[in-house]
Amino acid sequence: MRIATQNFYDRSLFNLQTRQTDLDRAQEELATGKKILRPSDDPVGANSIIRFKKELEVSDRYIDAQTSASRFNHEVETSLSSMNNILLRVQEILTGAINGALDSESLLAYKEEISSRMQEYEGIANQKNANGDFMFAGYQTQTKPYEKDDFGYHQYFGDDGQREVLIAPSFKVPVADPGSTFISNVASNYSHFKPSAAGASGAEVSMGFADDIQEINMPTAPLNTFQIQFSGATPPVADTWQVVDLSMPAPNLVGGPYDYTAGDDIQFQGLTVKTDVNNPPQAADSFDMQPTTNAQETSVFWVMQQAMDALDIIGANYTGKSISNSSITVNGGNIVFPDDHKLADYDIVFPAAGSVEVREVDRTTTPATILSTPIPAQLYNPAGTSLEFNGVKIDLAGTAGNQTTVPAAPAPNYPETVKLDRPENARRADVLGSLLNEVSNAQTSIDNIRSQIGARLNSIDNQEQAQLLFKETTRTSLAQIEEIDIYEAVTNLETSKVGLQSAQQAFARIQNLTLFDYI
Amino acid sequence: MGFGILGTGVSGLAAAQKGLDTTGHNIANANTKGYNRQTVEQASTVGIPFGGVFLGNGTQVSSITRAFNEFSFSEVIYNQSQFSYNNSLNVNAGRLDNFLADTDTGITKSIEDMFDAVNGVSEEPTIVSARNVFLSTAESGANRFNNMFTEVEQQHLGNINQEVETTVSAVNEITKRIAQLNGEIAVANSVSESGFPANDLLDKRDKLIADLSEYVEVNKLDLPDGTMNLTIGSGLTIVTGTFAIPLSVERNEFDTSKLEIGVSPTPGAPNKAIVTDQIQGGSLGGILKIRDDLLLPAIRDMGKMAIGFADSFNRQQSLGRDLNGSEGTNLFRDINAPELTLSRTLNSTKNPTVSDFAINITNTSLLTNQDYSMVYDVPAGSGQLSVTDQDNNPLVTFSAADVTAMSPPTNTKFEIPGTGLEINLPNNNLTPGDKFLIRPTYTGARDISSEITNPDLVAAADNYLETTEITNPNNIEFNLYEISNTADANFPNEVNFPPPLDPQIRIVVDPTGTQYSIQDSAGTPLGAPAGGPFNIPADQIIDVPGMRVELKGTIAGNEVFTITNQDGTDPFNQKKFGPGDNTNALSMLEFQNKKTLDGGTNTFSESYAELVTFVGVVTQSGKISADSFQTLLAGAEERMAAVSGVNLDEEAANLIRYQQAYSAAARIITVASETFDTLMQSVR
Repeated sequence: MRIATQNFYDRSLFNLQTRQTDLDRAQEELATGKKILRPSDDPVGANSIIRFKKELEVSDRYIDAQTSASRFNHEVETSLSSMNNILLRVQEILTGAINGALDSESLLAYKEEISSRMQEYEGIANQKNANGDFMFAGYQTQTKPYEKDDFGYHQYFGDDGQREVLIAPSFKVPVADPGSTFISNVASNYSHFKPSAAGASGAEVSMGFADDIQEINMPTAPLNTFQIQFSGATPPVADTWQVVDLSMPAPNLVGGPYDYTAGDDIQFQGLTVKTDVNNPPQAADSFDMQPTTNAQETSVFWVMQQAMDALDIIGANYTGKSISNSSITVNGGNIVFPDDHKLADYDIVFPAAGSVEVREVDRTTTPATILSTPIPAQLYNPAGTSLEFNGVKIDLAGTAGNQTTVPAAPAPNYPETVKLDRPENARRADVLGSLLNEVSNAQTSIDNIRSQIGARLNSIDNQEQAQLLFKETTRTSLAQIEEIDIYEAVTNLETSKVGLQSAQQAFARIQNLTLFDYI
Repeated sequence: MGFGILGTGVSGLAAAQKGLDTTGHNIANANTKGYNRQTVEQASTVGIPFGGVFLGNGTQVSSITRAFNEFSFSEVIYNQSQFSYNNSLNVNAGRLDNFLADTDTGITKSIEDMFDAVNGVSEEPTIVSARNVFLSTAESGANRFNNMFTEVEQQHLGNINQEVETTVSAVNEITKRIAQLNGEIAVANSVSESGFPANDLLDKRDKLIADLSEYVEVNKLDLPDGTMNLTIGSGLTIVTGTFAIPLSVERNEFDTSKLEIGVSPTPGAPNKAIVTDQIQGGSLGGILKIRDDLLLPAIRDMGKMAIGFADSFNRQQSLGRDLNGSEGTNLFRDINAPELTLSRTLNSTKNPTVSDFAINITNTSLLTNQDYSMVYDVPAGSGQLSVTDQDNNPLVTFSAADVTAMSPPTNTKFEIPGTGLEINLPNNNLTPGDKFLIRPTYTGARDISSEITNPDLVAAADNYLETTEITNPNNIEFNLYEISNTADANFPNEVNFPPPLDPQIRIVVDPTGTQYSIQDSAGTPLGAPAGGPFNIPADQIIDVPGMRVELKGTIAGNEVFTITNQDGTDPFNQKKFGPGDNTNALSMLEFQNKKTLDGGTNTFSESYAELVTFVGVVTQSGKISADSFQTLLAGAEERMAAVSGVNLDEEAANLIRYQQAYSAAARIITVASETFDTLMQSVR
């Protein structure tokens, strides 16, 4: 075949260029370590690379979130552990304080320790994390979750929001626990009562808590509301209070009317509601006290505050309190014959003029159930009558009237009754016992959260393992698609190099062969 | 020619000289492109009858021909145009290929950075720096889209258009020269002796044809007078005899920045016929194909992604509350900003008056990279507006009444089924025969920009609406899709629905599951038109007062859902704002794996990966074809060179041959002279 000289050069040049391109490619692959340098090198592979790389990015993001989630949960764990320690100490104190033989100094010492424990607890509950966010306020991270109201009860200002982070596909793990899940939701036998609104004058009363376990008596369904009514002979000053159960038909009086002086506690049906001495309720103020709609719950803070209040309860006598405007006076109440004595509540009733009767009652029902009549109706001398029953001696004087309400209820009228309560020591023991129970409920709440945190940390660990494994597999797949086999690449480079060299040498030898050299 | 030995010698001398000339010519043109070697054909002259015998009378040059194989040449120009075509594909697609593959220029990096930032916000929603990172990644994501648009459009408008213009003028220059050469060859053929064709003119013309084949596929038709007619592509005549028909560069009737190839039906006619579709092969065919089948779709694909991206984040923002507790605002520019909706339809330059359509994108997951065409009043008198897709399949036909309804004053929006688009006509100047191009996604990547600079405005917290199901036999999902207007007169809140009503609206589906109506919490339908009933569209994303909700699943009929505002007074205060709430940020984070694009088949990254693959495939097939046509071309050129090319060794041999023939012929003359002298001597 004829070979055209020009075509020979063209083809030689083309071959050299092809060899050079091959060498360049081999060199580039070896230098970058990749066999897909551009999508066109392997369009399907390039697609997989993008997808795999995205998977890796997502996986990194999960691992990042896992680290944070783990950190957040550990922070909460630490705080919960401290809280638990505080509660253990409170438990010890209360156990000690139940002892009826303690004098008021010891009780005061206990009270002060509880006060400082409560401050410590408050410090933790209102803890901020490194970002300056309140840890236990739910979503309300800029709001201090627990603050004392005017009566010393801490109110929760956070919400139920629980922040989560995404640590695996469709797997969110909580990283925060709002106080409402372990501070303010302590199971309680007696719940708590909240005034639904401030009084007409703007005065407020505290929440109501059970502090006489023997007398605790819930308001009747369906309204579930006790109403505290204040009145006064010379308005606006309130000098009298009474309590009615709004669900009942009249007469629905469940407490009072009793005299009121600013700052007095309102005690009825085993509950105590505090008033503010600086901003006392005024005549015509009324307060609807409602039990919480949730399951019976109280707050750790309230338990501690109640415990402090309970340590103020001292007294070994039976005490009676006569109603407003009554001329009856009650004195004595000492236990004179301890051997004959058993703890009980009594009503002293004046069934008719010149007659008196003592009844042992159970105040947990409305009306109170009469259990027995230690002193049946007997003659009563308004100038002074001394009664003895159950080893207790009590002195009465004054003229009995009718049980009244404010405003006066229409007839029929009921004879006046004086409630005679058991000694305060006994009440303190009852209350502390009940509070002790609530403290251990509080520990249960914390333990619940701690076990949840444990479970979360466990799943975070599991997911971390899963993600690391996933990343490893994905990396391997990615490498198989994207990366060169180093031996193959080196061989390629060598082959290309040798090819180019030999092509160059061959060209150099052949190109100067021409007949013209010989003629 | 003289008689006898002297004459014979002279004829040999002359023939050898022509041989030497031709060999010299061959050697001189050994490196001339398009040169075909020439050979001298010699024939003995007819002998003189001399007493019954024929005496040889010398030689003569019968022809000088070029070694040329018509078939090889056709093979070369065909392969040349195919190689140029595929090479052009490879080179132009390769630019995009490189561009997309680079992690610094691709979009995936930006998208992933943004999700990293969202993750940061979700972990610590109260940290302003995390929010700042999110905003800056959003901004750089938008910029990335903008840069990609600029880069690719630059390639389209700049390089491709320039190449179209220079190629067309080069083609015109070549065809003009060919037409001239046709004339010269016809003249030369008519004057030259038979056997002496105008070899070098033919070479020149063939060279020009080969050049032309680099630009576009050429077919030639030889005519008896030696001239040649040329057609390109699918039968478009550009040279006929001595006339060249020039191509021209025209502007697209819808998009004036897009160039088309035109040709005058008669020379100098002002209205050119657009023949872009007929151009095939060669580099011109290659760039037109790259433009129409790769660059423009790629731009639209990127626009689709940008729009989907912006829409997803904007909608999620609208479903959340920012650090101040206010409703989230758009993170990116609203995809349905009025100026954008108006820019999505292009009038044909042939429309006598301009009408403005507004295209609203209502469901970004249905977007494709397609453009749609629209024509008014075809068939004539119907008053219809017909919408078709790229392949001319009808999508929807709006009746004359619909057209009136979509015009002022009602401006009702009509759905274009299956496209995620809604259309109306705020400026109606329709003339029968008007044509429009709907380009929903083309500028999407250019138009995306981040709107928020204040980190507090990142809506990481959840909204205050609570959805519940009252009746839901098929357990379909009921999701808020977007909160569009909290100022709506029927938006659920305590002002619009004062007690004793709940701050609530109810969505009640009819028994057939095709319509829904809106009621208040007492079950009273809202006043017309807000109360409905409305039709449930195919994508099951329905409008309710101030928002849009998505019904996912098969509707059974009789479903009842409620949407309640929980940011009011007790008991409607269950979703009060808290700065530590990260619920909405978590929802945004879910976009990393959520198949939001391409009809719910692709995540953002996957949609991008698909574009990369598409470009990669085009580039790769261009490269493979270019390589194989290069080999074919080399083979064809080699075969052609084997026939037509100059081999210097051969010419060297020829040189010696003719030189020797020349010497020998000269010797004949010497012998004749000596013979004559001998004769003279003997006579003396």
